[in-house]
Amino acid sequence: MSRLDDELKVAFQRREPSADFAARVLARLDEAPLKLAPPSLWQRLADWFAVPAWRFAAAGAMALLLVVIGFVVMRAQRATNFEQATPAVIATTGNTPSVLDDGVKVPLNSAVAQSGPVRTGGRSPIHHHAAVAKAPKPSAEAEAAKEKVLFALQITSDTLNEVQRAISADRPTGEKPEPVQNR
Amino acid sequence: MVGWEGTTTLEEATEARIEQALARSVAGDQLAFAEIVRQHQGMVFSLAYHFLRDRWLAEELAQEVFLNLHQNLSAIQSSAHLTFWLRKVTAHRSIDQTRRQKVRPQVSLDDVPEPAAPHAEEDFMLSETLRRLVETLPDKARMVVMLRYQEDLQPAEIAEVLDMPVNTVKSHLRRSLAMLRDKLSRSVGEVRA
Repeated sequence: MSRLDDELKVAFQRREPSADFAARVLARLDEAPLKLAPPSLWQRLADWFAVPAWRFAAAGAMALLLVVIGFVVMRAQRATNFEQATPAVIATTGNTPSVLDDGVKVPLNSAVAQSGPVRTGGRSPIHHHAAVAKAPKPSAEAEAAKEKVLFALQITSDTLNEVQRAISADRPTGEKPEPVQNR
Repeated sequence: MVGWEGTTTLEEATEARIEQALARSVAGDQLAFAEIVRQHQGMVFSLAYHFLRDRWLAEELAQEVFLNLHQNLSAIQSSAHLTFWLRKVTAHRSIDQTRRQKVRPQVSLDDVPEPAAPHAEEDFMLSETLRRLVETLPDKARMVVMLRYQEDLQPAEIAEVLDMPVNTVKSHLRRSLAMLRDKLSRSVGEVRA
C-alpha cells in the first residue's frame, strides 16, 4: 500500500449527510404513495394469458371477421379479373354466338388469333394467356358453321384450280399464261 | 486475536440486526426501514457527494436511492445483497445525474492548483487536491477510484457493481493512479526546486 493509496483513502473517506436525513426519507415515503415497481416482461406476458375469457372471445371474433373480409375481397378481385379478361378472349377467339353466326368473320378473327396475343387494357401477356386458357370451348353450333365455311372455301379453291388448268390446256405450247387479275 | 474475534462478532451482530430490520421493513415496519437508512446513509451519501461534489444534490440523490430501495425491498435477500444493491444503484444514478445535468464543473487537469509539499499539517489541502484531480477523470474511472478507496472494494467487486469487465476496472485504476502519481510528483518536485 503506497502513500498515494493512503492519501486517497483519507480524501475519500465516508461522510455523513445532515442529521435529519433519515427523517426526511421517511417523510417523503409518507408523502408519496407507494409506487409499485414496473412489471417485468415475463410478468406482462403472464398477465396477458391471465386475461378473462371475453378477451379471447373478442380476439377470436376479430380473427373470424378478418378471414371473412379477406374471402370477400378475394372473390371481388377474381370477378374483376374475369371481367377484364373476357373482351380479350372474345377478340382472340371470336367466340361469341353473335360473331359465330356470321360465318364471314370467322377467317378474319382466326387471322387475328394467329397474329399473336391481343393486348387489352394494358394487361400483361401472362395474364392474357391465362385468360385465354380459362376461355370456354366453342359450342357445337359454332363448330358446324366453321365446317360449312371451310367446305365452301374448299369448293371455291377446287373450282379455281379447274379453271386455271382449262386455260392452260387451251393456250399453245411455250406461251406463258397471263396473270389472273383480280377484279 | 481477541480483537479480531470481537470485530467479527460485532459485524455478525450488525448483519443479523440489519436482516431482522429488512424482514420487518418488508412487512411494513417504517421504524425498521429508518434503521436501515441510518445504517447505510453514510455510504450512499458519500458516494454521491464525492462524485457530484454538491451536498444538496448528493442528499437528493441519496434520498431517491432509499425511496427506490423501499419499493424494491422484497427483492433484497440479505444484508450483503442490500449493501451491494445500494452501492450499485448509487453509482449508476450518480453517473446518470452527471451526464444528464452536467453538474460536474468542467475542470481541466491544468487548471488544478499544484499541491504544496505534503506535510502532516497540510493533509487537508492534499486531500482536496486529490479530490480535484480525481474530478478530472472520466465518469466511470472516477467511480472506480471512489469505490476502490471509499468503499475499499476489490477490482472484482467493483466490476460487479459497475457491470464492467474486471480487466477494465484494473486498467482504469492503473491509469488513474499513474496520472495522480505523475501530477503529484511533478508538483512536489516543483516545490522542492
